[in-house]
Amino acid sequence: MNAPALHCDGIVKRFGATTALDGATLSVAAGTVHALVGENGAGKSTLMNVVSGLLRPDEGRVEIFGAAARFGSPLDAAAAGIGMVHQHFLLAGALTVAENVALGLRGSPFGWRFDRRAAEERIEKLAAETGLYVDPQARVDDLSVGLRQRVEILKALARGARILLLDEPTAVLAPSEVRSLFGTLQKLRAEGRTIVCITHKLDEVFRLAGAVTVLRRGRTVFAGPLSGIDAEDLAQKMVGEAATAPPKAMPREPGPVVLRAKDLTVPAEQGTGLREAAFELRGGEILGVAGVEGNGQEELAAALAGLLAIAPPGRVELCGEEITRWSVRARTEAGLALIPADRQHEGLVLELTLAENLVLREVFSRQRAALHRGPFLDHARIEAHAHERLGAFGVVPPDPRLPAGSLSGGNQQKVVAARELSGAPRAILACNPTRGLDIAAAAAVHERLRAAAASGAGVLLVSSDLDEILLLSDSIAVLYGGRLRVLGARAAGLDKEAVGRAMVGAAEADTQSA
Amino acid sequence: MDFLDPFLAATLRNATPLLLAAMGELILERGGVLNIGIEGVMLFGAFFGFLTAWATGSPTCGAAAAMLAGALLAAVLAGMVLRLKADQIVVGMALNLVALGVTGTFNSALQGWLRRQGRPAQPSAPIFEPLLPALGALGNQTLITWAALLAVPCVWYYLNRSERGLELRAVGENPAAAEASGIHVAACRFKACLAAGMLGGLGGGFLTISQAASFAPNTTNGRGFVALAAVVLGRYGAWGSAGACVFFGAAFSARDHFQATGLKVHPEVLAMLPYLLTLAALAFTLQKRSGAPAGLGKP
Amino acid sequence: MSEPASENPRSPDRASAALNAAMLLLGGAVLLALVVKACGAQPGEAFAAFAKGAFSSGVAWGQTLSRALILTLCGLAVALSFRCGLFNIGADGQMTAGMIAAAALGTRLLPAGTPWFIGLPLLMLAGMLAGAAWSLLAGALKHWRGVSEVISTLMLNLVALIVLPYMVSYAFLLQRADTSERTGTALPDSLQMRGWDGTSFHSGVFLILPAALLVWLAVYHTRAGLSLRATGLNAKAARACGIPVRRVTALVFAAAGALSGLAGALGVAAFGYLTFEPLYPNYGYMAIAVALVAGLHPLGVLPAAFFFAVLEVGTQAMESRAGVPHEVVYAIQGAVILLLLARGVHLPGTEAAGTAAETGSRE
Repeated sequence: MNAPALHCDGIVKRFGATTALDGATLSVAAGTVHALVGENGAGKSTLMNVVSGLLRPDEGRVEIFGAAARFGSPLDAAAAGIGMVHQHFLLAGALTVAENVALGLRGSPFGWRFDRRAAEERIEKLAAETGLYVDPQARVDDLSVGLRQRVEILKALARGARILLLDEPTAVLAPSEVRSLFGTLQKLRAEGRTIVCITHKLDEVFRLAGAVTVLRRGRTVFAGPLSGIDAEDLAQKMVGEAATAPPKAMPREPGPVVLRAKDLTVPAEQGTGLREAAFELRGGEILGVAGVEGNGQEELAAALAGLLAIAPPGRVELCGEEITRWSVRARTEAGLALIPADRQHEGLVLELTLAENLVLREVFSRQRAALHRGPFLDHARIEAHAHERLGAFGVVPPDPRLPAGSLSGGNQQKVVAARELSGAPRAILACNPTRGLDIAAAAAVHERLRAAAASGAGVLLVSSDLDEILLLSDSIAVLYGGRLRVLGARAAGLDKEAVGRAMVGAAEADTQSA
Repeated sequence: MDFLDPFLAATLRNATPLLLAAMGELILERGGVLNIGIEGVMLFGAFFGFLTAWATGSPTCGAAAAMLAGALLAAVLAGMVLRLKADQIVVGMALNLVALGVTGTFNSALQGWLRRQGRPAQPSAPIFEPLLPALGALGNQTLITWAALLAVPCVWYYLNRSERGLELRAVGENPAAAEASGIHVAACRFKACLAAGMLGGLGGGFLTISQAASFAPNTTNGRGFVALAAVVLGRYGAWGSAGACVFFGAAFSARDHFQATGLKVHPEVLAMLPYLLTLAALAFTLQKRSGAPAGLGKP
Repeated sequence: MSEPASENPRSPDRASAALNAAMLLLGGAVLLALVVKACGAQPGEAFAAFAKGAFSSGVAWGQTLSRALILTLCGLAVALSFRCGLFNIGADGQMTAGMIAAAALGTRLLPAGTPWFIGLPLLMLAGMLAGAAWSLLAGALKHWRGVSEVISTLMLNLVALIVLPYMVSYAFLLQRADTSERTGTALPDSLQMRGWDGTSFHSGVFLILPAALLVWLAVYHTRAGLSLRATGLNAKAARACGIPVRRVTALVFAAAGALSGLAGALGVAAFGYLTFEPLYPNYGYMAIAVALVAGLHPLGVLPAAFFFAVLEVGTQAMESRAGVPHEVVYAIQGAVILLLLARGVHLPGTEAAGTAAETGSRE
């Protein structure tokens, strides 16, 4: 029997207290396309990083074509024939395609001469073999995302990769580019190369792969050929048993529309951008926006908060007033709050004190003049304000003079919530508000959001955690490929599987093929 | 023609230190390190080149010492920036101060010592003899000038036609990508620092062991900054930067010429030219097209 | 007024600032002793000359304090800029711009016999405006064209260094009857801040404390100051919180320029005229050392500026009395900066500077 091209057994990887991989196994037969699927945080990328030599496993074995492999660095892995195509490409933008591919492959003694022609010819030869045509003389900066990905694949092939690992290769591609990528991958497989593809999108699994491995919470929960299972089985294996928690959403009188968006388009700088998103958020309502990360969540939140320009004819209204061109400050004053996804980089200034962080929104606002006298800060009042807020939100330790960076992640998030939810905002944008928090801290943040909704604010909850969406939302929308699809009210029998399918584009694939 | 020949010769002479320093700075900046301390590197080269030439009586030894001294100061930059991750700009400014202080102090100490020995306080060092005086005023240049002119195609070849240059450019553009391709980023930058130090040091040395035979405090007088400007103006290319250096050299010659002839042209205007042109170039080119490496100045 | 809340997180910095100061004194003294030895002078004699030059008499104190004034103002400018993540190294040029404006106003534009209580404030205002304008040139280049302030302020310093002798020798504003002189026309007596009793202790020295206190107040006790600190530490979060990052940046450029320009105006008023060479050569660069030693704290600038002023005056005295070259002061300053950086002194905004530029250009 042939040894599998790649065999991982009992891989354990811990980061501090969290266990990212808990005995994961993966076995990929030579000359096949293998899909590796799982939710966010299931450990897919960690496993790939172990295989590609970026991380060392704490336990477990990796075998390449039957030979045990211990990689000290990505270079070792490359020498063993493993080529990794990262989701965020590692290319030097100002260099040409040929230069990027030739980088690090010394061909002359002491590297005294760079044979441009030879490098270009090698690319043309590889392109002829694989159909990955890219102009070798083009600057990488001038290439589309799809072509850049080709350069990454060419780079791996030029280093003699026999096993290609692709991390969410379609996340950044347009549909036509996806088709051409799939054609290429099939061709590479036909030549005898082995391909492992991380993906979230179940329709792609069936279009591309012959076998699949499903990871959940660091463990392999399913591995086998794709024959005999369908997308629904797979989706269920991915997300686990149907949610046991009953929908806690209390029936509330929906208030008037507080936030309305129409034709919200953000051109893609990287990733998918946002295409013609439209929704209405009512007072007292929690609208959950589910979706796998990188499908336009960041852009949606940033466009609504005023951090990203919205392409015309897009329009945002807050309580009936158009705010499309308003500054962040004007939106804040009109009652829009933002709990950003990345609390350490966007939410807080870690070196400043809690008291200062709590008034960052106020310093330039004309409304809450209570905290300053003219241009001067009123430290006594700011501290009193901080005491009250920190106590109300259960931040530990409740010392306003501590720098924000000294708090735990959960408490930092509580501080952000304490700032954003003070002053009775009318609409709240909450992005992954409980990421990285323990259960108690997450529950506390959830309680806050519910309370804010109960007091009449509209909450737009953007989260890649489906359980969180199901737990909190009154109605649910899904972002997929930069498009926002409003699925409807939770009360109307929307269940986890239906949302899960929409999240991975299954429903959309149905409509496309129909 | 009796005007043009000396003018061109003076232009070449004025351009020589700029060319050497700019070529060094170019290599370094393409590798992603901005060396504001280039002025100090030149000053170091100027003083220690002079000191060695005076002590040994050999301008060749002086040139070697100038390169060594420049490399030494650049190695301090490399150590601070690459190992200790200190801010490149502040380190560069500090190096300028250090060079100003160390060379000034040593120079005064030397003069004091000579005076106590009862010798003339202003020592004079042997200098390079012009090569090819047969070619007329234009050919009447020293070895260092020819070396500077030769450095331009060499640097161009290195950056654009060698694998090492390719690696350096990748390091300057996207260190993470270079690292992933198996390139040792810090080692690559360290070598670039040393090369830049040697070139800058020799550029400074030219002033004291070829152009003049003595050292005056702060003798470089901002030439390092002019070289810095030439790199920006030359859009980070070898030929462009060299062209800017020669142009600035011509501006300096014109300034000296006008001063000598007493024409009613303000020499200040010409002296300001490098800086004003650089500011204009920065202002009127789109940042994306400036040719600046994407990773410049970032740790 | 209560102690500002943000003093707390900086308290570890304070301990290390004390350590920095100790290292500084020790390192500086050792270095100086070595140089003295190398120059063949008697260390005891030389240090006596040093101390005498800096402290012994009213004249000495006047020298020291009038220089500390310039270093304080420029150091405050640098501290303010670095705090906001801006590498504005143009204090030298901004100071020169202030000098030229003040000298032009005093010698040409104000009618003769303007009383001091009108003339001097106007002179200072002119200096501040010119300094701010010179600084805002770099600010504008950054704001609209995304040009790094490092290169632009450096270039503007060099331009100012050339404009200065031009103004002194040619420009009609400052022209003297005999242009062979390397000094410009003297200010009218009423606009000169003569030192008392033949010392150079002039009334401008009294501005040291208010200036530092004012900047301290602005940084820690005003809304703009909080915005500035937030922008310098994390421009992205500041922007997400609605702080107008670009306006704050422009304000800091202007304020830093005004402080340096004020230094220039006071310098001209103290000297009474301009010279070909800068009146305070390299002080704009020394200010970087001052600000770093101060840990970018406005009140820390006071002792740091005083320290460097003593060094400056003392070494000058050593040069004239013990033959120890004065240039050693630059070496000490450079070494001090390197020492501080090597100890990992925290520069807020080394990361944020990049992000500020990014977010700025995307708006």
